[in-house]
Amino acid sequence: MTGKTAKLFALFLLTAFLFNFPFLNIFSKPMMVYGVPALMFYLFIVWIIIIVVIRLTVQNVTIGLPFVQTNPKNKKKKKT
Amino acid sequence: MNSSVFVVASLLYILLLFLIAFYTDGKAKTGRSWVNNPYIYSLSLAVYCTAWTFYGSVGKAARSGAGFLPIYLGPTILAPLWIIVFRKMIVISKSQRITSVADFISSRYGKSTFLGVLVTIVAFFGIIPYISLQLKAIADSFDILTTLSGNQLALNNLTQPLTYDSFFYDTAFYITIMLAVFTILFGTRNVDPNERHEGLVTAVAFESIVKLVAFLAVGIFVTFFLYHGFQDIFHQASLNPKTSKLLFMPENSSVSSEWFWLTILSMCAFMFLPRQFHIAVVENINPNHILKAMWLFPLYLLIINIFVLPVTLAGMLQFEGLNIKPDNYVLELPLLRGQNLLALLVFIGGLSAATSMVIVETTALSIMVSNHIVIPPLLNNLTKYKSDRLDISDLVILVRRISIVIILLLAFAYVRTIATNRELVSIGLVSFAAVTQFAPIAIGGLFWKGATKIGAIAGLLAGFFIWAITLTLPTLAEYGIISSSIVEYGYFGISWLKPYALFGLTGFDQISHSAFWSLFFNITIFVVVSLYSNPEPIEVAQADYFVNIYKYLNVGSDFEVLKREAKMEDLRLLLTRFLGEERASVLWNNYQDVNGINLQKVIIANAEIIAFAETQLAGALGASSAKIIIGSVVKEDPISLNEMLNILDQTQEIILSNRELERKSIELQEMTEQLKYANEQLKQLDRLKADFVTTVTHELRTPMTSIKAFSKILLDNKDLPKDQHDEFLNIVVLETERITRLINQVLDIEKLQSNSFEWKMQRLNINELVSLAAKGFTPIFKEKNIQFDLILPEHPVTIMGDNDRITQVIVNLLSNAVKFTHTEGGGLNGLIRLEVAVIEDSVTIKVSDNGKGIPDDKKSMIFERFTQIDDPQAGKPTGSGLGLFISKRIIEHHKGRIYVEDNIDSKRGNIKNGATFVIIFSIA
Repeated sequence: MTGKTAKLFALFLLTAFLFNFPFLNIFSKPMMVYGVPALMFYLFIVWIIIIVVIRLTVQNVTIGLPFVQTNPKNKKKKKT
Repeated sequence: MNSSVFVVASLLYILLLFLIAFYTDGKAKTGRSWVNNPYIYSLSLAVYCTAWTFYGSVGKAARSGAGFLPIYLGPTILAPLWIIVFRKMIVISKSQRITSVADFISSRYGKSTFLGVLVTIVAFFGIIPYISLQLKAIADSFDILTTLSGNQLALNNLTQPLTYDSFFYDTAFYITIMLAVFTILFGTRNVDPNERHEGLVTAVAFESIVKLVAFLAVGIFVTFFLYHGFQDIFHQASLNPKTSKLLFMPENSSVSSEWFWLTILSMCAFMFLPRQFHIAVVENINPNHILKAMWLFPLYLLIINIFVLPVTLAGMLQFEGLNIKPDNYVLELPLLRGQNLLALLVFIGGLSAATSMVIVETTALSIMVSNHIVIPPLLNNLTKYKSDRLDISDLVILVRRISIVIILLLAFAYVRTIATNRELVSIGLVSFAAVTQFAPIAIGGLFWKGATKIGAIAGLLAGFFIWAITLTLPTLAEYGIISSSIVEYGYFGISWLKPYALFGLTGFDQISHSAFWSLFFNITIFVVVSLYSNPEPIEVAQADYFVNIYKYLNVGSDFEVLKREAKMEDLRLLLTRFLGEERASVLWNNYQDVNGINLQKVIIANAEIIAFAETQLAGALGASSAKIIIGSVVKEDPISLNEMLNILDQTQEIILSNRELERKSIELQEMTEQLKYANEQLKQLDRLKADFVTTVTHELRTPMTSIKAFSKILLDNKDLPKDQHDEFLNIVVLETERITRLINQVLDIEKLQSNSFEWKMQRLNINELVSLAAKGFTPIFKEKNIQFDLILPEHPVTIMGDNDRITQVIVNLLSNAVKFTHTEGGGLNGLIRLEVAVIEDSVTIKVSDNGKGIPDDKKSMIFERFTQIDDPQAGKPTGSGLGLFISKRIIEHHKGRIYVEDNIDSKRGNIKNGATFVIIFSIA
């Protein structure tokens, strides 16, 4: 597992906890934040943060294109 | 509102889809693909949001507040893992030409025909209700728009039951037919070994925009025009007892378990719903698109969910006391205020959400049905008649088209009979629970080599069975299709077999209950049976390929594990018959080009060519069918499990040796670097030597010139005054000494290098030696106005050494110090200190000056031969560049050390800048 994938895996675990009970219990109270129910406020804020974090984490990643399965030996043959 | 408006609008909308798909397919043929960009990919993934999202979320929210969200949070939680899971699935699927989730699972487990059938059946029964949900949503929206509008709403809705046999349902039927036509045209265009449909994908991406815009429009209308923003809605809702409880989740275990299981179900569904797999994996062109979709798709989900709760609350407040289903609030709210155009937009949005799902899902299902259920039994007959000129690719397409029509008709029938009164979300969740059964064997197969076919079959059957008895059969019972007593008293009247409280488990909602038990049995049985069953050789090969896919990618197809051969002629015939003449010849030509083989000359095809043919067939018919077809013409050496394992080990070894090779070549490269560096140094040394020769010659010539000049003057002018005569002679003597010194040094070096130096080792008193050496410099210090400090220890210190040589070193260091010390400006500026100190059993001799010091980059070089410190102010260096080199050799011969350090402004002295040369001997 490379650094980036490990980070993303950690993010997955964190998100799974943040988006489930008992975390939600903390915010599931009759309470308004900026006029919005605390639970909804919490869920959407965390949601946005996760999107941003994913965006930043994968920013400079590229995946190689392994689709074309050519035989390297034969490729050389063709060139010559 | 006139019903014909909506009929015409929906017809026009679907026509627009046709145009988009048609135009894109045309573009794709000319090689300019629209689909090959991450935004289209991300948008097409939003086929996840169906009529369920568009209408049903509000319905769900009306019951449980935030409870509609887990369905969207699941894929968001999963998003960071896409780069691991989807990437692997895509890479495997592209290299094995996998065309559906059934094909994927069947391929992993030894291209098992039975698993392909099983997955298809589970998907088929699981998905039909889901498709019917979409048709129901379209029908309902028609019904609402055309029977009710504006102010009539309240009256009509109280009295008039929904008319399910009305014309509007017929309209929904026509829509269904149009969808079938669309899907047939763009989802089964040809039997393509890549199974890609660019027109379809673009149309779906377009629909994703439409439904988002429509939902945002109604959300903005409700939030900002019906009310004064979010705060206003939430405030009003908090005043009403019915809506206020939706703002906050009640704290109880059933809510939290439902929430948890819905996130699990939605994660699994997002990966393994046939349409999601189709869009995410099969239609993927470039795995890099995942990287954008990883955050773009969660963003899409977030945006489409922002207004769900506000719309729900508004609907409940506005329609309080009226019998209006929350599923319809999205449509009813604009109608309530006479916003007919907005209602039309909402209707189109709902239509887009429903149609995109129906189109992709039926396409994916039809591929599964044709490749895994219809074609395999026909294969034996089809391959027997070799002379038959029937083009089987036409047959495959025909089968798919018929499947599409059947799937849609079944879904339509389901709406008419069963789904009439159910909530959209509860119908959809049944489907989610069904496809969740694929997750253990698919994910397990992707990362666990020990998963076997028997284990997968057992696990999937168990999960499917539990799903059926805990969700589907009770539903049928509710509608009286089977005896309704099972719900109340349990199957066979056994109380712990109650479908909603299996084994007496209560306190769960139906979906969580089913998901828990089905996944429990699915996973347990899958793992246990896998551990206790033996895989077939081909399973082992496929397992290794799936789990370690990345190791195969770099080595190409050299590692065909199956030893098989076939007549080339037979292979040609098969490809032609199943893919069509034109496509087959294109494929063969490509193969020739890539591999540099002339297939015309090949009579018996080797394993590699067979694997190529099989992969191409798999792209059209699925892996298990391809295996059967190839099997009909191929002679295969029976291979035992042990042999297979050996071959895989060898593969591993070859891959390892490839890595070894790579490592070696890196080492070689490093060595080359080192050699290059050494060579550079040698060259540098060579240059230094050349410089040295120049210097020496120059040094020799200068005194020679002056000796010659002064001698000539003396010779020519015999009558020079005596003092001038003496002065000239003095110069001649001095210059001669200079030459002698230079020559001596050069000779010293020669001796040092040839080890022919004669050492006269004896006990030496360092204090004496140093004082004596320094004494010789007294006139020079005076002449140059240099302050000289000599610091000696109180007690005499003795070492073993050669008196002359060590004196030579001290003199050399002192004369260097004189040369470089600070002499500008007159007065007692120059400062030189010679210090002898005893530290434990060693003696340190330090010579410091307050000159410019030695640049850091020269410190290591200064003891090398021919190194001279250039002083830009002093011009050319005056020494030979040999003194320190000789000193070092001498000190080293005495087992001592000599080095240079910067002057630190020590407490005792005030020498700043400049350099300090340090010699350390051990005391004798």
